[in-house]
Amino acid sequence: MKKSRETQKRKQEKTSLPVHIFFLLFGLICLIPFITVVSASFSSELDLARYGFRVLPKKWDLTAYKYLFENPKMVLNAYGVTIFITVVGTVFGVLFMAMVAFCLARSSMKLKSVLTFYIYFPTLFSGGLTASYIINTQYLNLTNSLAALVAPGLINIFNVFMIRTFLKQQPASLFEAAKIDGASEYAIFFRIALPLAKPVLATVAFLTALDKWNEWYNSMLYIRDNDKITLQHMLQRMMNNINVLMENMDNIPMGVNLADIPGENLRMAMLIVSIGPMMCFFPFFQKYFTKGMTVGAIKG
Amino acid sequence: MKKRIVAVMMAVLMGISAFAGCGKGNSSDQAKGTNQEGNKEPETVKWLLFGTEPEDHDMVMEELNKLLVEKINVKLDLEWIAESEYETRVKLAVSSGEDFDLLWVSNWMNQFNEYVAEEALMPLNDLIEEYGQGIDETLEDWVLNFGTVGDTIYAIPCLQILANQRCVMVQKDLVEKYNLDTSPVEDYRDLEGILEIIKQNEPDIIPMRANVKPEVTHYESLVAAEIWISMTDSSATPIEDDSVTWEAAKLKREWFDKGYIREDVATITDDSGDAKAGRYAVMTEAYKPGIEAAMADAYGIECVAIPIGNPYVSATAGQATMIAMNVNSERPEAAMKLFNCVYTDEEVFNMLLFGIENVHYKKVADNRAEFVENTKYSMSSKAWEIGNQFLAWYIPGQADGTWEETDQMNKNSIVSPLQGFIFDSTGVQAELAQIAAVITEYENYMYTAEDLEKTHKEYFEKLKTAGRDTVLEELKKQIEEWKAGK
Repeated sequence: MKKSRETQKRKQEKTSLPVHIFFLLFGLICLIPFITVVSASFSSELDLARYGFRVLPKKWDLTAYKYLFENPKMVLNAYGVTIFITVVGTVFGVLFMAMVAFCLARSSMKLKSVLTFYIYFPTLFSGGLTASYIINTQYLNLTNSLAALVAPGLINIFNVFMIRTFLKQQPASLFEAAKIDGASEYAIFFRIALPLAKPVLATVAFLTALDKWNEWYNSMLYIRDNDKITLQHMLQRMMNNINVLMENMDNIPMGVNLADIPGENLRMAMLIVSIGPMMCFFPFFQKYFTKGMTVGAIKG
Repeated sequence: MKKRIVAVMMAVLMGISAFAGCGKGNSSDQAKGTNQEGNKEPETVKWLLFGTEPEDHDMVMEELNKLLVEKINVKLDLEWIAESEYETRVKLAVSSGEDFDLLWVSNWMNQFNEYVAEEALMPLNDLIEEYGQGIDETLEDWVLNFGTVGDTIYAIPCLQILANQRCVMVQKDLVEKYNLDTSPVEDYRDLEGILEIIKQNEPDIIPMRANVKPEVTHYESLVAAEIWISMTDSSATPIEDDSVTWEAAKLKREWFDKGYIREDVATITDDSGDAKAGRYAVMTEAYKPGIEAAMADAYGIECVAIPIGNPYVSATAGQATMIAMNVNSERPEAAMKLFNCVYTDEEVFNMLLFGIENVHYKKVADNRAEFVENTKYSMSSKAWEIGNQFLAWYIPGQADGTWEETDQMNKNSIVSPLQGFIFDSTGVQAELAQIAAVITEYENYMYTAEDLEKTHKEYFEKLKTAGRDTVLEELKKQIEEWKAGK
């Protein structure tokens, strides 16, 4: 018995060698393009044009970063906005989503199925862009306000259902016991349900934060002030402007001033600057991430 | 359960209709309120243009508005929207009924046709007669025609270069080194001598940038579907077969085989870095007077221009940049007054372009200005987008007399027999989208295809499947109708 288990173990180790190699290669395939981007951001524009992208820069050159931080106001402002909407959007988003989910998870809630249908039904189709644009600009007056980046999409129905499924696994007797001890519904929610739901909350928080960090579309639609645009929007605008100019070179009557188009190295540097922080946070969330996803999915 | 669902749906529907109801009520009330206001206070005209907002925008606008109130008692609220976002934003503003007055339209971005089809533009005939005399005097009728559909003027073309002529820019030091012949040529093929010399003697430089479009020197296109009309054909009959693209493909292939074109042309997407680095000996550009100085400014490379073929005013030339008015504008008179002023008043126009004297620029001659170092306002490269470019002061890199020369070139060009004709693409949108996808797919493929003839046939077959014939029939029909109505 013992022996056979050992041989089995050895077998496992043996078969895992090709697996290791596969994942090493796979990791490299993912890593090399990223290193190339980093290296490109540290190269000079002329070197990039002459020698193309390389894993190590031909010559170290900090022009791109110097240019970026020479006028740091733009980058810092955009960072400020993105961090603000990420923090505010995540805190309120998770809180509200948990509240909705808590109601839907309680078996004692009378209108549960009606409410579930009410929030689920609109996810099947969309009212279109114009409708939400009119609501947001003309009725809610969100134009040029940071609220336009936080409020629409604060509650994600998919996430609500994920939290609900998780909360449903908490025994109803636990809440009854709390009630007998004199706890109000709020106390049950904040002091019992939420602390027990940490894994799924972390998952949702991470998804929301990622979503808000990548926010650019609402920023494009509703923000008029260049000081209030998000980091991703700034990047997106820079890249897309280049594309529009390149595509229409023949049409634009005065031709395009090439000197105005940022070089490849600058674009890569912007990329690094914008994804940097997210990359630092990701590993800390990751353990919750996998746990929350699987735990929430057990009972579908 | 079923009953409950029905009940909920009813409730939702009722809620929606209730909201819709109060929405309408509100907006019409607002409209009434603003219309009843008196005209003593200067009205503010909102104008949407594309570009990057300069740092000192607010400061210049304040000064400009003082000037505008003094002259015509109107204020300007100018919004610069990023190039990539302009179309989305303006379309939303139009469809949601946002309050703004002037917008920029063209035939290549923020399509003029589409707005006309949606009846989103204000007819301008009466407004021009009453408040836009300056525009009327500046623009000859054939230019104004570019923004006219039927008898109605929907947009005013900005005055700039209208004639279209290709040219190639050859690096000046190469011209001197090899004593190259830079006299004007008739066809792309006449450039082969120059390219061969460079190929033989300069191994580090790519002889030709890949943006060659040999067909556009002899044919004009009314719709982006590889349908061409010969410039010398006065009956303006669209060419049905694939002869035009085949000739172009052959030339491209030949040049690639001879090593005039870079080897990785099929995969490269953005080669502006190479252009700036001076890796191309010869680059194709649209010719215009003063281009050599302008290019030296843009690329930092001294070049000599070789014009190809003859200047030609295509059927849609003036549509490249036009200003139109929102049909929902609440102050059309003020908007027309303002645009008329920008279009004809040198002081106002140049303030928009250059900012404030001695803060953003220095005047060096009557018609010439230089920006101060690190200026926080410089929109002079936007003259063609805002109004009459011929009123703009020259900047370093532009020779005196460039505008007069351009004006002459406009007037002396061969004019398309279809001048003023606009293809209405609303019926063939789906076909055009598919055709565009096919064109992009094959764009640079002709250089490297293994069997050129087969690939080209395949390309044309795909165009046909995508609906080229439908577009062709539609185009022919519209041209006939247009000719009959003339």
